[in-house]
Amino acid sequence: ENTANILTMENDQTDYSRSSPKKKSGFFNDLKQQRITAWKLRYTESSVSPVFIGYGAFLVALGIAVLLVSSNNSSDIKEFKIDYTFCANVANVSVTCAEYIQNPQIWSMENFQICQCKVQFELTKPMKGDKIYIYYALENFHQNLRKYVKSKDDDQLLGLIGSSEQPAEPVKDCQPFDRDDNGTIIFPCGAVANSMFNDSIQLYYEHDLQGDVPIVQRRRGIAWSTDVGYKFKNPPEFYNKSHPIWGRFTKPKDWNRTIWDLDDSDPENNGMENEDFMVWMRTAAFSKFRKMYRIIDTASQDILETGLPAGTYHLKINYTYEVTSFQGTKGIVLTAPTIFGQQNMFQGIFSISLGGISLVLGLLFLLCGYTCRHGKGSFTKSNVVMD
Amino acid sequence: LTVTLEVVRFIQALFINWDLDMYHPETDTFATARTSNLNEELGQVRYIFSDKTGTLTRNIMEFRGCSVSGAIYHPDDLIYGQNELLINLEKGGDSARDIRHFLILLSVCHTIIPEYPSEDDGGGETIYHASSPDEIALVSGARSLGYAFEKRTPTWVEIKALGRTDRYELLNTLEFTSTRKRMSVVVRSPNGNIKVYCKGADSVIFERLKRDRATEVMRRRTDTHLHQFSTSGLRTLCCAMREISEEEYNEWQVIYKKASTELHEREKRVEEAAELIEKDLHLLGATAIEDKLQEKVPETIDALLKAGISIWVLTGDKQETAINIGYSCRLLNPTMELLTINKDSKDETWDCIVEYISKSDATATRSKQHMAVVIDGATLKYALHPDVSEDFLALCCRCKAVIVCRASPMQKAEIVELVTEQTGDITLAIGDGANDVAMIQKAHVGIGISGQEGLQAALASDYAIAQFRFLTKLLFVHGAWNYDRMTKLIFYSFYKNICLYIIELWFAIYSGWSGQIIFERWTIGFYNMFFTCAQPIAIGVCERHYSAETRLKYPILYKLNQDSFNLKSFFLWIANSLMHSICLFWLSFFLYGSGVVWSHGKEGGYLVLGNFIYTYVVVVVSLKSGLETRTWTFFSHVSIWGSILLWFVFLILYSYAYVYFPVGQEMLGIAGLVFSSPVFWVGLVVVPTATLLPDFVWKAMEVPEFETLNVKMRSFDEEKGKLRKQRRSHKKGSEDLHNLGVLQAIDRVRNFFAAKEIGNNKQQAGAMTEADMRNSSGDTFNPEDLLNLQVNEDQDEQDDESSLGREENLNQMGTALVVRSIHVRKEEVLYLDGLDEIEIG
Repeated sequence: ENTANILTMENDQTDYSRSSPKKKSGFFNDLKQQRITAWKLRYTESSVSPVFIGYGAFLVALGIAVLLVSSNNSSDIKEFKIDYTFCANVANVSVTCAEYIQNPQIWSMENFQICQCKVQFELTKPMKGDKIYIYYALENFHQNLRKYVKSKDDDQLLGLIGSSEQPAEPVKDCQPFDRDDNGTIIFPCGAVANSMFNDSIQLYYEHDLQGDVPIVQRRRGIAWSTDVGYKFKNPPEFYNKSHPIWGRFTKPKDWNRTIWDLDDSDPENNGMENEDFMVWMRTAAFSKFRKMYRIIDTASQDILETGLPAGTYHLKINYTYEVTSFQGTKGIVLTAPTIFGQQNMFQGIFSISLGGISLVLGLLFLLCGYTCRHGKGSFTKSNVVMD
Repeated sequence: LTVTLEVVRFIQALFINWDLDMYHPETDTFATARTSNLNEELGQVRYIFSDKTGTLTRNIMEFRGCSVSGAIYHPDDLIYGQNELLINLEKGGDSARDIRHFLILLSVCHTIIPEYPSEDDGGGETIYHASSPDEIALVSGARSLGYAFEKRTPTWVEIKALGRTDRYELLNTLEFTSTRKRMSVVVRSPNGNIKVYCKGADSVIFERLKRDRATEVMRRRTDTHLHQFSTSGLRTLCCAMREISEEEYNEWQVIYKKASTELHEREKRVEEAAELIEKDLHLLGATAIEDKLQEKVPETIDALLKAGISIWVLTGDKQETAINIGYSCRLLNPTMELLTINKDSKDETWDCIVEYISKSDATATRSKQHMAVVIDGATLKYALHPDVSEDFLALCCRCKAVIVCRASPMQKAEIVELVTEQTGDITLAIGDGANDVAMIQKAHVGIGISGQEGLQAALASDYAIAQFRFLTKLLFVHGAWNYDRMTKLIFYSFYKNICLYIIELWFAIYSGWSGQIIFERWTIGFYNMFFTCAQPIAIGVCERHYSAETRLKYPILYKLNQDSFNLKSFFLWIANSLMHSICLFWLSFFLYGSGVVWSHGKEGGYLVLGNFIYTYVVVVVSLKSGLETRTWTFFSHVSIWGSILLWFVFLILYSYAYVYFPVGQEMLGIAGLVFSSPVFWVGLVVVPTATLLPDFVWKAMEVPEFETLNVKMRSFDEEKGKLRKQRRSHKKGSEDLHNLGVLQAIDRVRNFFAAKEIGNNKQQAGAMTEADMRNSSGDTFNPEDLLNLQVNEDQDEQDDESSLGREENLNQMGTALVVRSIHVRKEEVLYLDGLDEIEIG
């Protein structure tokens, strides 16, 4: 875009009068003689100003469009966040779940009880969309550490775990999450799998008449089709839980379920092919990230009609995922779909300001082209190209 | 980078080999680059060491004219099919006698050995052999005028004078030595008279002439002719003779014999003896020989000097010859002060050098233009002594030209080495013969003249060219281009790598310095290999900073860009690339947010961001190469758009590679992810442009180089405070001046005025006032006067418009034009001088 009107033709036509039989025209010869046609870009104030102005206008328009699409307006909201790191234990309100699960004793208690939270919130305006996405958002969780990222076994993820006689050895990168204390191979091994987010969250709409209505949350369709199709496969033995091979493997240390229980409702959505697992395995770029948890299909639910109506909601959370030990936080994000994915004002604002800057520059150059240069008595209008 | 450099250098070398402008049809030789590592050094040459014979000159002497008894004759001037000289010879009279003696002298006074072509070869002309080609030229010249030298025995020479064979008895031969600077023969002519024929340098001959009025008149006239000859670059010798009586000869012969058999200080004695007979000479005239320069040597030297290159001519020849050649190839000009250093001891040499230095300090600024050092081999030995060499170098570096004569091959090499080591500038040595090999190898860039007999020089050289004149094309075009290209290429290569890899550093801030990379491994690997390899090559091969024609026309451009590869530029580029990487990373960072950049709400992971950034990097880096490219050729387009396209294609292919091959597991489907994200496309517009915006603005603000020249000139002019008036009265000229860029304008103005001047001279010569005549012609030309005059006339023009008669007014304007034209030329000279000084400063 920066070349359009600042092209000046340079033609290195020279006299071929020095008649040498070898001196011929033609592209290849010109190339050899280094006189192929060239365009010379001349960046002068007056030649670039239209570029700046045109481009600036385009950017401003783009930015405004982006902003319109993604920002909250008066009638609905696009995104809602709530942090539940320190939510209270339903069974014992004096203790937060964060404290509760940090107490090592609870794991050895005989009547172990999962810490449950109830997090209430209100949508002041409806959130529109035929789908509403539920994300869990983690902060200060470094999924981007080198050793962490590497710590997985692609073969395992593809279900290549060997036979019961000779189980496949996990890759070294998985250490120290390759075997448990007894030496049994962990499947799936590695730090990434081990640290999988395992809170379970259910959203309820507090309907005026019907009371707490659980909202149906879809568990499938949250992972990338390429992941589903190519990267994650269950071993054939997966569907025979009593197969001797499973005696050689164990679940990751920090999981509170086996690989068969990841989705109780859908046996297909388990093991390596569990979409929550796939989503988790695609490591995030920054320590503050969100990952898709569930999708709400609003159209198929009577109460929701065209989205989440304004009103009070609460989340019931089985709080099992520990983040406070590394000063992390976790939360839930609800978003309505926009073209640009998550709500990100930066895109629009930046576009507009960049456009603005180039508009201003363009105008300055325009002015300059007519005043400063002429004051100095310059040459911009000349179409004679020195070179 | 190394690979790119090598590829580019190789292609540049090919360009040199292919260049038809450096093709010499006579010998059917192209220039050959025997190494490609020095392509860019050709663009930084500050010192040229040139051999003379065979390099500057063809070493073929030609008799080009003579001045006999006060008249100039050219061998080619024919009247009615006969040479004027011979016509005058037949006319008889004093002048005929002089002419006859002159021709006899030419055919007798020499040390040539003739070789007779055998009958088998079909006879033909006698071939002459001599230690000096000058003599051959003179004798051949005489032959062409009808006085052919035929035979020589130790006691006589036989000449065929206009068909008649005459035998001259050789009584004595007083040989040429560098101190005597002349040679004489004492002969007995066929009619029995004894004559002394003497030829030699004008200075020594003139001292020994008869002291009478007629001779004095002759001397003056001949002197003028000599001056004419030497200013047109011809080598001159004076010829004189004396008739002596038998008694005088006998008397002298005794002395001479005694002197020549002396054991002690024989040379000196012989000289003294010779003095006795070489006196009261009758001046016959002078000869002019051209040591034919190679084609366009003066123009080439002129251009090289203008480009700020110091030229050192290192020759084995004697001093006079060297100086003569210096003049004829415009290395020296008559306004130059020659600092001759001929001393016999180290201390004297040193003193002499120090004295010259202090002298040049006194004349300060303009010294560089107007001094040339001439030193001979014997003195050079002292000058190269470690104690002295520093001062010697200091002196030489103040001069535009240095001529070293009687230098041995070793000395040539030593002096080249000295300059190369001490100044640290790029030196170039050019020569053709085996004796130049040492020097060629010592200099940074060695150039051999190829296509002639010897191959040693060409084989030892880095570049071989057929003619000296090709040096301009090689240096100004190939050298300067290649330097510019290499500079850009290297900077650009640093830039592109920093731009990409520093982003990893920025990412490390977020990844807890764990060393996690944000790009996929193989894509990083292919960055330099595929996606950013074409751009630097395109720059390195196709960039042409100023066209070849411009560069050849304005040698000063060579000097102008010579130090573009400097630390400042380097840091600017580094800063630039840091800026870009910061922009690229954080803009993408903010755009990407928490990674949900699709309407279907899925989250992309780190590699999607990585590929966003990578794409933007490729685009930015490609466009940046476009911004830096001055001349967009077909290849620039291919490299820039092609590289971007290549990356997109690669990304798509690589994204699906895992389906078929066990590579790129992490990259699986990334292309689909990236391209389906609207944020990516918004970013593709916003991020590269935001990154390059400052660069683009900078480019637009940057004053083009010609403008810089322009400004420089203008500031110089304002210092002088003169051109303004010129402009006021000459709107047309001033517009041109701005519109065309200074250099062109100067050319135009010059042509314009030259044309005017001719016209005006013809029409209005009569109308010139006496004062104008005095001012605008002759040696007493004083630019200051002229300026005053012009100012006055400017006023006159305004004041007198009404009062003066129209005709008179016209006349005056015409005169003013003439004056102004000279004025313009003067200013040009001043301007160029000034520019030089600015450059030096």
